[in-house]
This record gives sequence, structure tokens and C-alpha cells, in this order.
Amino acid sequence: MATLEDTKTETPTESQRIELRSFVNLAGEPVSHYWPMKTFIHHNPLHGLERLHFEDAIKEADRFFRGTGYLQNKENRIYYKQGRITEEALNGALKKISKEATIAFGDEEVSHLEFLKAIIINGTGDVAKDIAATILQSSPNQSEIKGLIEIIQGLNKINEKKESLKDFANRESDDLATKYTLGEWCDQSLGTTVQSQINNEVIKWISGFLDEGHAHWSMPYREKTFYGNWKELALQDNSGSLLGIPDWKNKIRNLSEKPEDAILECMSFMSIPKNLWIDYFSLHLAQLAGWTGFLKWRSEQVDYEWQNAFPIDLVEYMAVRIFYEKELVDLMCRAKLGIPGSYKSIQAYLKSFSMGYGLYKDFQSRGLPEEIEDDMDLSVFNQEPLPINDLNQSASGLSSKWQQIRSRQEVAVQTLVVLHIAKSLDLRVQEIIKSGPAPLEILLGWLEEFPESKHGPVWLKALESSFIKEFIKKFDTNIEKLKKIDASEEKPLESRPLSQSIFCIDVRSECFRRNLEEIGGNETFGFAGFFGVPISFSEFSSDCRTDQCPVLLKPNHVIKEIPRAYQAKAAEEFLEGQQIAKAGHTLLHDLKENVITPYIMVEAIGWFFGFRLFGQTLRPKFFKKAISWIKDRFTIPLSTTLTVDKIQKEEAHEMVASKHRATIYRLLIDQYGPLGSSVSHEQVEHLRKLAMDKVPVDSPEINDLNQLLHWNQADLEQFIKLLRQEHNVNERDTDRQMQKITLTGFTVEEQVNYVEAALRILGFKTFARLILLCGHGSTSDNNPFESALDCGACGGNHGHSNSRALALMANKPDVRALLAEKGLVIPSDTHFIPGQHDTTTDEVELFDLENVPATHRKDLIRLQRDLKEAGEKNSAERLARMPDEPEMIGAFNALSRAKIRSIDWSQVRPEWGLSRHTAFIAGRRALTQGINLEGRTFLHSYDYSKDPTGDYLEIIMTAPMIVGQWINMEHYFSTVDLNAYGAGSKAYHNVVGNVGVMFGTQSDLCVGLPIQTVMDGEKPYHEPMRLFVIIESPREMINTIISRHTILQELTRNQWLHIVSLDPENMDFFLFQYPNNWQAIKSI
Amino acid sequence: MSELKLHPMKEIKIIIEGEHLHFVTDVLDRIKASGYTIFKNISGKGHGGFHEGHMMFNDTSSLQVILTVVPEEKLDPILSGLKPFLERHSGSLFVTNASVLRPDHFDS
Repeated sequence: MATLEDTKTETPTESQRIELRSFVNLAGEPVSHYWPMKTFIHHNPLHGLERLHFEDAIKEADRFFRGTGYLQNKENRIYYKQGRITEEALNGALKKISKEATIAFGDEEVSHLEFLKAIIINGTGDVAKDIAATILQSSPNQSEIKGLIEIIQGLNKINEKKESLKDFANRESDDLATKYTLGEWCDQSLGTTVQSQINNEVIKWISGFLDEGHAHWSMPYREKTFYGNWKELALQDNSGSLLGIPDWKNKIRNLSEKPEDAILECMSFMSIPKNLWIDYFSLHLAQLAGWTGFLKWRSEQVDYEWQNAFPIDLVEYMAVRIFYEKELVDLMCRAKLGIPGSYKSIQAYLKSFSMGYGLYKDFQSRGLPEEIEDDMDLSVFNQEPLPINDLNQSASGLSSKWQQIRSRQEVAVQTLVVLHIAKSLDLRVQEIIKSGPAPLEILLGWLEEFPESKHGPVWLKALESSFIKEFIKKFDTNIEKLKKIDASEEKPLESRPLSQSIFCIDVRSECFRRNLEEIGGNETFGFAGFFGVPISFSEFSSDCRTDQCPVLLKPNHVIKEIPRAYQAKAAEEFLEGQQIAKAGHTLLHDLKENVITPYIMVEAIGWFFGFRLFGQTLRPKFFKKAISWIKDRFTIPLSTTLTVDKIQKEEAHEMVASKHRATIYRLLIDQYGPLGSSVSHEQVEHLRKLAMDKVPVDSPEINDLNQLLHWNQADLEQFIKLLRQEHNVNERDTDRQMQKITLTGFTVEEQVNYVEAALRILGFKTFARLILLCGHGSTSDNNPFESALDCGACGGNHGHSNSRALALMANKPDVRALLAEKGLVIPSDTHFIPGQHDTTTDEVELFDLENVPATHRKDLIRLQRDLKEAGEKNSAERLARMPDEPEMIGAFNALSRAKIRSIDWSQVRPEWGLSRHTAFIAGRRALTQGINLEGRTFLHSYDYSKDPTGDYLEIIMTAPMIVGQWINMEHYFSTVDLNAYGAGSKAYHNVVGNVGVMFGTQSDLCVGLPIQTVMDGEKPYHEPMRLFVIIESPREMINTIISRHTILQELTRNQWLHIVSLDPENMDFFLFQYPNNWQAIKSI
Repeated sequence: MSELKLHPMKEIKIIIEGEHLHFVTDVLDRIKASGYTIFKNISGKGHGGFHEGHMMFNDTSSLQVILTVVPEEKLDPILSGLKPFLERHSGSLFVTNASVLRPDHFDS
């Protein structure tokens, strides 16, 4: 197998190219996928690093993305003061890292644990070196300070840590191409802006290339793929020359045709060692993680039209990026240092001139000590190229002096730190001085082992432990009840509920369910919002399909929305109306985007937009009503249904045949004009069969046809050949099309399986007369993040299509008959009704009401009334959590207030969404019923007693739980680092290319959630913790399921989530510890 | 039977987690392998113990097999592409000799 090291030929081999592609694709793994905003997918931004332990992944991500992985220490200290982090939990977390050691300062003893606690709560007291001495001088007790300094000066630790001018070069030599790209090194060392120059250029090209219909003037040559397009356009663009790249156009012209070859050339020029390539590419791809995440997603889509039309992948992107780097680094290194811009030459420079470079770097990064500056001519640092030989010489003479000064400063810093620790531990400084160097040496050693950068994991564990201990107490009363029920001391209420409603497991359903149940007579369940029916949904009159399932799945079935049979005329009018609206929209868009027309348009119809501007800003509710009124007048009401049934084979066959016949007709008319159109239907059918080899060539119909078209045998054969080869009228195409058509809908057996799985997982015991299947979605105005508020289980879409599909299946008599055979008897008077909860307005829209039997009218009216009442209560509860809502006392119309939030285009936070969630509970409703979980908990209905084999729990743990973990990690990282993993503030967002948002006119694509979703002003609203998955099931069963699945082992071993068992044996909570240990929550 | 002429080819079977399916298909597409077959949700035992295929709603974490048949000259590039992947991730790769009736179907 030939690899890159084996051969040094001019033109790379195919093996070398493919190997390089693999390097780049592997390098892309730390970068998380970014889905287009219209279907926002909550995901773990560090998903690509889940193979690592949570804490190691955060370190690795820091290297690539420069992101923070933990809440800031100051925020954690506030939690501690507020009691959100308890002292007990903090002690517990510190115990895990503390040693059994104490140090004595006179009579006063300090244990390692006490020390850790003191510095985690009060900080280390570390200050910048150059100001430490000044702070010390202002201290009142100078004699104590002097004594302390004398001891610290003599400590081995201080002498071992003495800085040397060579340290800068040594450190950078290690970090070059492993922590920093050559471009980044230039920026940090030479004060250049290579990275931003590369990023700006790349954003310019990629945002134009990836545009999906947003730009009025689209980029030309996109069909040539990204690399080809760039090569073409860069020739006509002078920005490369403006950046100073010499001979720009020739260099572009001479670049290889293949992006792989271009990368290989650049890597060879920059002489990056091959063993560093993957990491080096990762550093590059992480630079604009939003854009690369999106193109990574796009390049993996098999049937994505934009990708098929304008291909792009990580390799093409890398080829462009690395070319700019090669050129700019070379330019800068030659100008600033007088060396070529390659890894080897930079390494050699650092090695040969380490002393002089140290002096230069110290001057540049923090400024030289005054005493050194006085001895030097500082203008040397501004000379280009840097007179490194002179500097090296100066450094040799100044090295010892420099070292002494820096050492003195270090002593001052350590003295301040010791004073701070003494205060935190309530130690007397005199005692410390009296105790001599030995204990102080240990103390500073402990400090070195636990710097502020290592406090994050401890605070996180303490926060999680505080939370879970408090959280499980909420269930005490319900657990007592469950114990009695399980011991048959108390019978649960088994009367038939007035209605049953199945909601999504989404945390926002928790409040709604509770409010609905409190009205009385309504039983509720929680299930993944796609209702277990993975479909690709095609809305009536829409050209696009949406994947209505978690992104973990690829749907194999297509469901179409079609007008009901009696709606043929209405459907026609609807489509006509839609055509007019579409034409109007296009016209308006064209007028707005044209160079000339906007000048006239503002005069002519600008006032119309003023109506919208003022209406939506000043009186949003009135405006919405007015618009609804107008819409009602013009919208053609259309009643639809879904194609849940599979098309029969014969029917599908006929559909393909009819398509083929149309092709033949068209071809005959094209070739023979009016004569062709006179060919009879039977003759066309005969031609089709002939093309399929289904009939003999010699038949009366063919003879007639030959006569009609004046064909001889050769003409006929030619026509048949044309049909088969050019127009795909052949057996193979029929098979292919049949396969496609039969993707639509489900067989009865499949429908039975879906309904059965849903009802059995949920643990249905009794069936009400009306069962609501309630998906969810959200509506908000002027909100690019709208789909982040939609259903994650439905792939970031509204969930009504799935609820409609399952309801249609569950209402079918043949499905019920087969279910009854399987022992799942649904009473004949039970009717499933689909609905959708709007999580912003708390309105529930019911669908397919035509299907509700007349006998269920009263039930329906009652359910509608209850849903409205629950919505009102839920809105009131949610509004109370909104910081910008005035406190509402007494009766007020909460639904109306919530509605205003959804239509106010200046509202940056229409709802809190899933923010502040903490736990996922899979268990019986009796465990959580009546408890106000504040919309912070995913609730999945599950009854372990009905799942002896664990099959249903396995489904929950391998799908909904994983989606929950993605949502959790998205919120976690968006909160702890608003810029690296979050999307920053919505106020500065601009929609780009219809795919995402960026800041201003040029930035990375913003990934993650915006500030307005996770922050309440300056404070985090979302409490960043790893998800607690609480499962009411025996521990052994959970062990078995985890042992079966690599993904579960990975997530638990690496602590990306916590699994808690509520063991039915003793109804106690246990925390899972990989591989198969359980610790009672009470004892953690 | 003796009238049928068989042509030698290489059959490659790759077992990986569904999440990495695109990595493998990208290599095969670039090499212009004329086709491949994907078996989803498979079970079996390997270095990491027994792997259960019972994943109703999760394609990305289930194990999948990709099977392709290519002319011998394409084997080397395919292996060059997959080797770095298998150095980082778990998975298996098998190469066997195969014979086909219509070589033009496997040599695009």
C-alpha cells in the first residue's frame, strides 16, 4: 500500500490522495455537525470528542476551539453563597481529589481538604507579576512581608520554577503545529493578522458558495465545486494581491486541478511533519467551526439538492484555506524574521536564537522589566527583519539580570498568594514565618496542583451532587404511595379517565401535562414527540420533504399530505391562490433587490411597510388580528389527510406504466407532430410492453402502428431502443420507480407494530374514549432560532404530521383487529385525535376533526375546554419565569400575553424553550404526578413491570435518552462559553445564505444557542449540569442494557451523563458508576 | 455452467458504527467503486464484547456492514483511505477474492 511517505513523485498517486482525504475527514471529527437553521438540531458541540472522558474532551476542545468547558469560578461561588451548591456537596467533590495530609504552622494544622476548600471558595489570590511588588508595598505590615519574602526566596519550589529567556522558544517549539497553526504562531509572535486575513477571505468565498437562495445575485461557477469555483473567481479578484501575496494570479493559475494535490503541495512547502497532519487540519477546521460544521453536514447528505448541484467538502475547503496560510505565513516570516514560512525554518530559528527570541517575546507579550529596558535600544524590536543576531548577543549579556528580576517578581507574587491563603484559612502570618520553609514548600506545592483552571470540574460535581440530592426529595410522598400500590396495600384508581393525552417528553410538556391533569379527569403520558413513527413528510403543495424523526434515524417511509377526496375543487383553488401569492412574493422580492426599483418602490408602496412596522411594534396584538382577518378572507380552507397506507403493488405498477406511456406520447408528438398524437392508447401501451419485452414484436397493433407512422422494422427497433436507453422505459427503471413509490406509507403490519410499540412502551392499562396524540411546535416572529424551539424528536420540525399519522393508524379497524390478536384490545369507542401544542402561545390545535365520530362530540368539547384552561394556567406559570414580564396580580389573560410574545417582532425571547432542564425521568406517572417540576424535566412514561425483557427500556435508552443528552450538552456548552459554543447575542445576528446567522457582515456561522436562551441578563438562567437520567427500573436491567450498547458504555464511562436507578426493590435512588457499580444517592 | 466465464475481483467488507458510514462511502465514491451494499443494524461479537443490534430508533449507533466488489487495482487506494480511520476507530475490514460474471459492472 503506497502512502505519502513512500513516494516522492511529482504527481500524487490515487492512494496518496485518498489517504489525505481520510486525514482531513478525521481531522473534522472534533468539529460538530451544524444543521441548517430551518431545522435546528440541539447537539453536543463536542460530540466528536465523546470517545474521550468529559474532562479530557474539554481540554482537547480548548486546544481546538479555545472554548471554556466549565462555568466561571465566580458564578460557582455565587451558587455556593446562594446554597445552590451545598457545603456537603462541595466537601464531597473535594474529598475525591484530596490527600490524607496535613501541614502544621505552629499549633495550627491545615489538612489538604481544608486547603482545597479555602482556595476553591476564596480563589488563589494570584496576581500579575509586574504589579505584585507594588501591591506588597502598599501593605501595612511590612515587617511580616519582609519575613515571608525571605522564607519564600529560599524555597526549592521557587528556585526550580525560575524563568529563563529560553523558555519562550522551548514552549513555542513544542506547541508549533500541535496547539497553533503556523498562521496563529505568526499572529502571536510577530503581531500579524494572518488568521483573520485567512478567515475573512474564506468567509467571503464560502458564504457566497453555500448560499441557498438568500442572495439575489448568486455566485457564478458554483457547479465547478468549491475549489474549482474559488480558482475561477480568485483569478478575477485582487484581494490576494491586496494582501501582499506576490504573483497572485500566476500562483492561482498554477495550482493543481485537484484539491488533494493542492493541499499536498502546501503541506510539503510548509514542511509540516506528516504525523502532525491530522491535528494540524483540525486546528484549521476549528477556526471557523460553524462554517465547517455546516459544510461537514452538507457534504454528508446524499440527496441534498444544493450539495448535488454545488458540491463542497472539507477537502475542498482545506485546499483553499491552507493555500492562503502558506502564502501569508511565508510573506510574514520573510518580512518580519527574514526566514521562509515553514515549520522547519521556524523550528530552526527558535532553536538557534532562543535567547534573543526570548527577549523579543518578553518585550512583545508583557513588556520587559524597566531595568532591562534602560539597558537596551528598544527600537531593535521594531526593525524588520528582526536583528536576531544582535538580540541574541544582547540577551546573553542581560540574561542573568533578567532572570533575577523575574525571580524577584515571582517571589512577590507567591508572597501575596501566601498572604491570601493565610487569610482564607485564618492562619497567622507570624506562625507561618516561624514554621520555616518546610510547610510552606508543601503549601505552595498543593497550590500548584490545584490552580484556578482546575476548579471547574470540582464545582460541576458539587453542583450536580447538590442538585440530585435535593431533587430526589421531591418524590418522597409519591414513592410512599407507589410502595403501597406495589405492595397491594392501596389500589390505584382504575376508572376510565375522561381523556388521555400523550405528549412529547419535552420539558415544556411537563407543566402543560400537570396543569391539564389538575383540571381533573385527564390522564397524560410522555413519549418521544415523533410518536415512534419515523417519516419523511411531504406537506400538501410543498416541494420539500422534512425528516420527522430524531437525526439519529433516516426515515425509510414517505407520508404525503393530500386533500380529502371531497376537496378536489378547493384544492385546485388553493393551489391557484398559492401560485398568485408565490408570484407576488417573487415580484416583491425582485423589486426590493433590484438596483433601480427600490428608489421608486419606497415612494410608491413604502407606506405599506410602515403599516407593518408600526403595527407590529406598537400594537402587535391588534396587528396580528388584522392580518388574521385578512388571511381568513383570502385563504381557501382545505381539509387534508395523510397517506399512511402503502400503495398496492398493482397500483404502483400502473403509476409507473402511466408515466412511461406519457413519455412515449411525448416522444411520438415530438417526432411526428399531429400524426404522433393520433396514436391510440392501446398502441402506446403496446409500445411500452414492447420496450419491456412483454409482448412479441409481431402483433396487429404494431402492424397498424407501422402503417400509421410509415415505419419499417428498423424504425420500430430504433424507436424501442431509444425508449429503453434514452428514456428509461425498461424493466430496470420500472423496478427502481416501484421501489421509490412503495416507500410511501406503511403496510398494515408495520402500522400495527408502530401502534403496539407506542402503547406498550407507555404502559397503557385502560383506554379513554378520546386519546389525544399531542405533538408540539412553536411560533415566533423575526426569530431565526424559531426551529430551536420546535420538536427535537421530530428533527427540529413541528410534530403534528407524526401525531396525525399515528392517530390515523390507531383508528383503523384492521389495525385494531390485528392488535387484539396480539392481546392489545383497544375498545371500539376509543378514538385517537391528533393535536399540536404551541409551546409559545400554549394553544393546542386539533387536527382531522372530521374523523371524530359524532358520538364523541361531548368528549371533544370537554377536551377542548380543558386544553384551553390548561393552556391559560400554563401560560401564567411560564410568564412568571420571564424576567421582562411585569408581575401579574389577580386575574389576567395569560394566553393573550403569551400570544403577544409570539408575534412581537422585537421580542428576543418568545419563550425559554428547554432552558434550565436538568433531568430525564423514565417511569410511571404516579412517581411524578402532582409535583411541580418547573418545566425542567423530560418525562418518558415507562412501566418496568410491563417490560420484563427490557426491550422497551432499551429503546428509551438508545434513542430518546440520547436526544435528551444532545439537548443537554447544547445548553450546557452554550451557557459555559457563550461565544465559542453559544451563538452570542441575537441583537447582532444577521441571517446568511438561508443556512444560519453570523455577527455583522462577516463572521463564523454562530453555532449553539443565543444568550437570550440561556442567560437571564448577566446571570446564567440555564444551570449547566450533565443530564440526570432517572429510570424506574431494577439496576440489573439497566446494567444489562448498558453492557449491550457501545454508545451507552461510552457515555457512562466518559461521564457525559448520569444514570440513576429508582430500584423498585427498595424504591431507593442509585447513581450508576461505570462499569456496573451503583452508589446510593443519599451517600454521595 | 462451463460456458460462463468468471472474472477475478476483490471483495471488501467493512464493519463500522453507523455514524461513520459516510467516511467509508466517501472513500468508495472517490475511488469510483461502482457500488456497495449496506447491511444495517447487525449484531455480533468483537474485541469490545457482544454488540446488540436491537436499536429501534437509532441508526447512527448501530453497527453496519458495507460490502463492495472492486477490481484489484482499486484495492490499494481503498486501503490507504481506510487505514487512518481504523487506527482511530473500532471496526473491521476483510478482503477476499471474489469472482463476477459481468466485470464491466464493477469497473467504472
